Amino acid sequence: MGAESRGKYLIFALRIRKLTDSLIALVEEGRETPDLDEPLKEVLASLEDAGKPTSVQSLRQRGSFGHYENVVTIDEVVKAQDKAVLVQKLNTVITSNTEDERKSSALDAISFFDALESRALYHYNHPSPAQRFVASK
Amino acid sequence: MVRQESAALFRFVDSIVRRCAEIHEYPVYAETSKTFLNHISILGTETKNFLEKFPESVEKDKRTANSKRRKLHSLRISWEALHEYLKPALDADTLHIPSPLILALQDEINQVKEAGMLKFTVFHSDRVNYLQLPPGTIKETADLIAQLINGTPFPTDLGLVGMPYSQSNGFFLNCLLVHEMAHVVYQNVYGVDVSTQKDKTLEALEKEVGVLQGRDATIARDTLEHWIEELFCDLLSICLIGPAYSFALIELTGATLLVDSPPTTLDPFHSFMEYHPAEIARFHAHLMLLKKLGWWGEIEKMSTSYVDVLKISEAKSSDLRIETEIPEDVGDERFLKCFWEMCAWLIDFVTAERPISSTLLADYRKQSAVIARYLQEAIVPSSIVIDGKREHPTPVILINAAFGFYLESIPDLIRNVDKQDASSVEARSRFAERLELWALKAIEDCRLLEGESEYGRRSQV
Repeated sequence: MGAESRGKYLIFALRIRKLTDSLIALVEEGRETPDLDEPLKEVLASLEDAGKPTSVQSLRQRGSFGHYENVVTIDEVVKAQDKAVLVQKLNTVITSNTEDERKSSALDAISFFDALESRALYHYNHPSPAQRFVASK
Repeated sequence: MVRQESAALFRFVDSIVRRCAEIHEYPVYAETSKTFLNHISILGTETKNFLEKFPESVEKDKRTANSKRRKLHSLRISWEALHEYLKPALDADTLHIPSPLILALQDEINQVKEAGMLKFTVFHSDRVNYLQLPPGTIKETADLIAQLINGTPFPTDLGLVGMPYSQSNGFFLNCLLVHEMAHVVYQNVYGVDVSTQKDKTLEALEKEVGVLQGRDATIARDTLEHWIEELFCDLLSICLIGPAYSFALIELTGATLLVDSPPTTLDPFHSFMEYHPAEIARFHAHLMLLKKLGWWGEIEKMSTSYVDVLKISEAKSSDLRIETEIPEDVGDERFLKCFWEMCAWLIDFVTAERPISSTLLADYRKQSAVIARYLQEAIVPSSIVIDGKREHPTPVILINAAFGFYLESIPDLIRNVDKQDASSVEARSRFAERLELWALKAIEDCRLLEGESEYGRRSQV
């Protein structure tokens, strides 16, 4: 893995942490930060598309979450968790009108984002050489 | 427990802040280096303030306590990433960087639309290859740390560029620094435009081969993005400083090996890697741009294998190989077609965004031979006399004339000045080093002479 790719995992982890901070503010204080909804929608797009045919256009809609390192990390973490439940929780955070329901879903979402952050940092700290090289070509 | 964890990170950050504060009168740092080190110091102090209050925040709500402690871990790793760049930045004091060249390159970058305020700080690296120094993420990392602790954002107009520590007084290879500066221009100004065009190219591909499945789309998009960013930086560099950039890249990559070599696609010059296009393809793109700009007419008759590399790149770029993963259903040939489509678009794009001066080539034609005569007499060509009139060549003309002299006329210089054996490798190397010093001096003088010449874009590194 090149230094460029390694750095992208760190940036991804920090972006996820920023999102987690916003969720924590929601859980603890019922406070909505302006930078919560947009990245949550991008993560949702990534989750809903995981494993399906993925067009270039749909990747663009995922924003920074559409890059290779981020897709790899999301796929790894989602495999270990129930995707449908996750999607529902994130949707609830964005759309629910009930504050308690939003807080409860946000709390669940925090565990998912913690796992994402942790996995991205794992890749940053343990770069695997030539991850994408196809020797058989 | 959280107090201990916070204190450990506090100590680590504090050691970095203290190191930044140890800058005194000597060694002397460029203003941009001071700005960078000062920012790290401010961010460190803000992080320490954040950590002072952090345990209280964690204890507030047990439900989120564990997640918050993870934040400490992320902050620590981020600070470790910044730490990696601190000593390289401290090593790059003004005695160990080619300041006149960096200022001249920065002046050229500042002529690019919307990049007029960009300044660059240089750090040293133990890597010899300029093209493997990715400082771009440092700015983003620092910014994200700032967002996580409510701190100060990284200065918008400050870019970081890396150079091998051994090249501190070098000139010719350091022409590659303009490519590193172009990365900052790409990230700050043109990234979105180019990326949108890249997606259009890939969407056209999907119309032919069908929607890309799963991770294929991600790989296609990211890989093409990496190649195109590199190509953009190459092409903008040529628009800014002319063929000297191509010559520097040829020297760095050792591509003269291609001249008179038997045809093979297995050598690395033909290989597209995950982050870089094949050198052959890059040189072919350089050739196309040099022709479009008119520079080719000025250099094609030069007697040097460096120009031969550009000449053969067109024919050799029909044999290319992709040595990284791309979508299986697409195939190398079709994916390379996307690269060449983007290449054609980029050539038009960069020449529209940064056209060369209308008088540049005529001035180069008139002045370069005179500059060569000065260099042959070991005279720094800051001011030259043509038809009885004194002229001050611009840095771009000096860079290219000096590079041309380096490639064609070093033996004449050795014979003329030292009456030594011009075939001696040692003598050639020694005189090349002298030539680099004269070229740097001439460029430095451009700034002093700005009152007398039309060249007068003063700015501070």
